[in-house]
Amino acid sequence: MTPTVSEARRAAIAVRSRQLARGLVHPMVLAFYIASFFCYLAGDSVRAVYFLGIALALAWDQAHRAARSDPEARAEVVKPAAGGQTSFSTDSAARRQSAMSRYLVAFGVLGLIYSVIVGWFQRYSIPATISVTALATVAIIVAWKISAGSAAQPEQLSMTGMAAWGVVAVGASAVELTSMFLQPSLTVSSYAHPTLSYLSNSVLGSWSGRSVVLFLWLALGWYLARL
Amino acid sequence: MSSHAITVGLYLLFLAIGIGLNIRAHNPKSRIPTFSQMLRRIMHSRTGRIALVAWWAFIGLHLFSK
Repeated sequence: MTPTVSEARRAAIAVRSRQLARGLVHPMVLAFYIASFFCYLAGDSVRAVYFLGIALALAWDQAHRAARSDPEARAEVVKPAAGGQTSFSTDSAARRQSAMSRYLVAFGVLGLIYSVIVGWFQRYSIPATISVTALATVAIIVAWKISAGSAAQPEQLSMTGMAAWGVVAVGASAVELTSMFLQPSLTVSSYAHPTLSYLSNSVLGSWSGRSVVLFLWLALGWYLARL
Repeated sequence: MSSHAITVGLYLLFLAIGIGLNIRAHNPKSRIPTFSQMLRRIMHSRTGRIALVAWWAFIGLHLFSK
């Protein structure tokens, strides 16, 4: 017997719900929930909303793409993002790296100018906020528009080796969280139990320190974009 | 030893372990992936790529934005 339109619609909704549920528990999405939760505990509601927004957007994006490629493709691979860019095959990654290498000097000079100018502004001032937020927003939008899962098989890495890196990441995060909870309160910093943010205050107190950190931040972004 | 020194020491310890792991990973016989390989593995998927860019953006926002 042929299913009715309403049955087909119900089935489609059920499939979509399952895909959304899978997206909501993706490891990367979970990391954003946790970050959002701790930002909320620390009284930083703006950043808590930022993390939660990214988490929900990623979950929705996963469900949306899974629906387009369903029923065969369960992984987030192959389909290029909206905008028609190619996926990150080995070939396209090589092209991207080659193109970025050509512009390395130009971006280096621009990055230096940006770092020196924005570093001149006080932290948390309106000009600094606008300068950094604008760049961060553009980076996220560009990543969202052009990113695609790679159609190539992922490189096989040793589980033991990955676990070793996991221990470093979890250990460092545990020290940061422990320091945060040993502060007089979650919103008051402590010399006795410094978080990384607290330790960065001395470096970021000067123009030169801010400029160097901004340049390193840009360099890290460049490095990620090349990968 | 003060708790400040212990905490800073622990941060430096994990930083040193990370650097040590990366140096060891560059040995051709090592089974440990390099830092770049780990990042590439995470960025193999669209979700991982966007998530890492969002973390990078957060660092800047956290340190400089209101």
